Amino acid sequence: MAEPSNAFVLGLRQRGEPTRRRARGSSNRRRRAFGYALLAPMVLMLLGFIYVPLVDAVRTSLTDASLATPGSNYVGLRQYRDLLHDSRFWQIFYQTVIYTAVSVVGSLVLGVLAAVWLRGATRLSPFLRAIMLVPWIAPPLVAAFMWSYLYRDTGPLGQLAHTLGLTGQQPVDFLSDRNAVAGIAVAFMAVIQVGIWAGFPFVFLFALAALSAIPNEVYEAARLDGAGAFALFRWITLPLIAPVLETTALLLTIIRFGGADLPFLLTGGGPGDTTSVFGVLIYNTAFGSLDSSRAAALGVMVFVLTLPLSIVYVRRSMRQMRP
Amino acid sequence: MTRWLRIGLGTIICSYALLPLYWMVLSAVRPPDELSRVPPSWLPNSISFRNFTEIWTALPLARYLANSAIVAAGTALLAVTISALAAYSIVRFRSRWSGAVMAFVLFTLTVPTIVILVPFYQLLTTLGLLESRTGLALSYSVWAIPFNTLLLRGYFHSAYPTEIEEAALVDGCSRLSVLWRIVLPLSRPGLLAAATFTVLLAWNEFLWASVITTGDDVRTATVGIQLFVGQFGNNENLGLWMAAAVCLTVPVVVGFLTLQKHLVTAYSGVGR
Amino acid sequence: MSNDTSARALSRRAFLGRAGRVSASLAVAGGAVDVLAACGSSGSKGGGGSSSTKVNMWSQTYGDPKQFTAFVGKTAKAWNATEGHDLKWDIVPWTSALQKWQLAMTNGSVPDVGDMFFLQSRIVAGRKKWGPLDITDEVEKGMFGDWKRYVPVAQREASYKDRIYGIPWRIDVRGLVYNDQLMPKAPATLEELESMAAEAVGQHKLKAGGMTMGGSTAPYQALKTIGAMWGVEFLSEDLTKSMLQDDRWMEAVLWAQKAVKNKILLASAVTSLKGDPSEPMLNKSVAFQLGGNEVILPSAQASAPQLVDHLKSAPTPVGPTGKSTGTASTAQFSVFENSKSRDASLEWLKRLTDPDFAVELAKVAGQESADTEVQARQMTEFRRPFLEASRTALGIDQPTPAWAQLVAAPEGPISKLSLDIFGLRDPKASLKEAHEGTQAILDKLA
Repeated sequence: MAEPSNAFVLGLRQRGEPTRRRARGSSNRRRRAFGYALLAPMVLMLLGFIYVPLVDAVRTSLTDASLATPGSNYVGLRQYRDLLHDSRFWQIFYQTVIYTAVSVVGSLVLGVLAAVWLRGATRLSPFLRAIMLVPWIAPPLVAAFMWSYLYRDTGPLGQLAHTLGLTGQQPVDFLSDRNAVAGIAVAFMAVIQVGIWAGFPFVFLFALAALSAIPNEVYEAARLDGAGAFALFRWITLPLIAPVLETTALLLTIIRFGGADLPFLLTGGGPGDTTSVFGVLIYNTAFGSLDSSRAAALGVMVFVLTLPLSIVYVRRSMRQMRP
Repeated sequence: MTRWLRIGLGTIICSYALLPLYWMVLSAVRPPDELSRVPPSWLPNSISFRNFTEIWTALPLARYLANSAIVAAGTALLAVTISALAAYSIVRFRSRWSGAVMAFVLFTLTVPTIVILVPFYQLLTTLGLLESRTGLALSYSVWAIPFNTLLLRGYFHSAYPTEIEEAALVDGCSRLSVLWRIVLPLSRPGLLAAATFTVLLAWNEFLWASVITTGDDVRTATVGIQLFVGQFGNNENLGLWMAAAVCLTVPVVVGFLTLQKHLVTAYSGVGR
Repeated sequence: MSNDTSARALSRRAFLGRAGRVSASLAVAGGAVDVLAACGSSGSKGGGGSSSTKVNMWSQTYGDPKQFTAFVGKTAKAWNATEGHDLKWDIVPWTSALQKWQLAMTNGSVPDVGDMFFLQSRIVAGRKKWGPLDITDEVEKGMFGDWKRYVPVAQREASYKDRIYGIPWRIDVRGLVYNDQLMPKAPATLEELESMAAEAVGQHKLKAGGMTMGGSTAPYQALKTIGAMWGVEFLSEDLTKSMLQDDRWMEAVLWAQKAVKNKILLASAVTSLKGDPSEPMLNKSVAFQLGGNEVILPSAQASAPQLVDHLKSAPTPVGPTGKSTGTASTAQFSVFENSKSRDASLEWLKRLTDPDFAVELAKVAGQESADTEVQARQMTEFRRPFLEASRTALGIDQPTPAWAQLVAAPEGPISKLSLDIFGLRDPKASLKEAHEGTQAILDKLA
């Protein structure tokens, strides 16, 4: 079984890169047919189960449909216009961007730190690696409940903060604290923290894989030249794992932006709207206000907003795949 | 890094990672009156495993866990097979459509699931897949396939030299048997990684499972433990819920513990 | 070359063999899907029938899951022991009940009998094809006993446009719950409430005198409780107009804000949507719960057993209306239009709501009954003020199909109003905004 070669990490063209030339002939046609046949099930499933519903959602976003009443009328782009003029939309847009950006950056930093820390293989490594992965493995339902339990004014963190004198007269339930800094409520910061906690194993895994492909000789050579730990990290480790980190960051951003299970499970968007993000807004619009057309428009907007990121990711992957 | 720095840093990171789950286990082994004490103590004053013995009769937890396992296994089988075939095709049979296909797959990751929830539900109803674990497995597969495809594409890209396959083809193997006899064994880490990701998704999911299944016979564990939550969001028996949550989380953690070596190997591919 | 041809032939045969196996398994899978489709599509399309005897019921979970599931199982078994009965009683967790019902109502994937809330929304969403069944005729013929024995608020909430769509079963009455260790007796009037709250806060260093009931549905319920003391509801009696510009609402919300500022009521009980609805009571941060109900008792039993004997109940304090007005919300059991076993379902419904059975169900579920006959049999000292108040209580949920949208937190205008008021935003602007939003939704549904 082949381990990923060092050449791969250092960006060199590796052995085994397919070098097929376009050729004609029945064997080539059969080859291609086989290739398409392998591809077909996935394409069909995604087409049928995601793209067709997506088209349906786009169609719904152009109407005034609601889950409450039958029938709907075509209203063109009115839902989109209403959204863009809704200050609540922009407030939640701002919050979603902050949530995504901060939690992704936080996860990156923590994930890389954890990977660097764990880099040396020891007997405990498998055990420690599993511990690092726990925030990602735990069911979001359980994790969210436990964090909200910890954050309560009667919970350990709430009580700890109070003992440390951070919360004034009474202990505070962090997840319902509306006090805001730069428009970001304390409750939201608490939610973002949970996002970082849940996301860093994802980065950790990729970073660890990338790190394990860097040969020790490189480090030793640099150490002989007199480089200290920080210099090693800054000039060797970081540049070498940067491509992997970029990709991971892109993926994580894409997932975080549209995803909402953590904010939803932690606070449901409350108090008020202070911890709401797009996913929560879509959910509440569809199942709370029963405004399925507006929710569909929101969803389409989220999709459109993450499109540039997706295109960047695809482009990079395509470039890397070319011989 | 100096030794003490290493140990200190490691302790901090590990504690941070484990904090909520430590509290979960702590709460599960606490006697009930300690559970509501304010301020709560960080270490147990007394340990009681009563919740862990009671939970198996309070709910048919064994059945729920079995259902979760069945759905997870079914999802993994379906999703990994389809994604692996597709990823292999993208990497080995590159055509001018490869970029488009990649984009196609990636865009599905960016669609928030809630948006397609209602039409997806209609689709499942038409196919008659409500109230079944098959329907659940199918739904989860749909959501797992995009990420799996990306993961496996990166994996196949660099997992092993293609000369092996080419040699087998020259020797007269059919493409299908190349898949079966060469690709499959050689790509086990990657497939395993995709399978673990898929199993995780299926095992942990709550909302969709609770919406499309109702009967107690097909209920999964995540839905099962929510039976403790009352109409106003209050928990009927917090200690039991904690014990159930532990039973829900432990299998996946143990699974990851045994398989994480392969994960690290496999994940090295996605970055490319 | 011959090698090549034979190789190709070899591979073709192998391919065909392999392909054959693949397509065979696909056929099996396809067949399996067909079988599932046949099983799954029963009862999901429009058009009911009475030929079948299979009755499927969904109810939410109540009380201790172990006891409730045991009771459900035992009941179904006993019912099915009779010839011609085929009941499947499924339990739905509360956390996802709303989404589950709403999705089911989009295409009629509903059971035969259901434990309903937001009944009128379901009637409209079901478009007479798969919504709750109109059982007015059966009720008038006396199939379900004397309709008048249900308290007025229950009768209203089970009806829509003068037709009956469900039989009431449980009622959630709100009154005053207090801790006699922190507050020696129940305040009879609003003024007494204020002074006793101040005393309790001073004496016991409380967070606030009291709280309204918390949880995910807190916002609109808190506001309703307060509005009831001024005798005003959110909507007009005919359910077509918003009452939010009524002067009494201005007085009510001003009082609510005063209560927050003077530590009479805890704002966070209203604004944080998650968490245990009685927690501040249970850990003695507050002395009373205005608009509390008996659900605090099992919570206390589980997490603060020493508190149970000190929890007392009382009628809602008297406000400017001069009399004590409680609020209550009820739930119903309904049969669905597209049920393929209408007669069997109605028979089961009759059994469900029969007082002899209803009293047992209420006991296991830990619920108060909307049926005065059953109430007489489930009276306790704690329940007394609640059950008495139920006769004259105002409906927490007003029976309009727009209700789900109006009170959805944090979206709906009424919930948003409550969050704004308890968040101490400008009452005049908040009321105006809520009024416009409410009227818009009502007009849309008219």
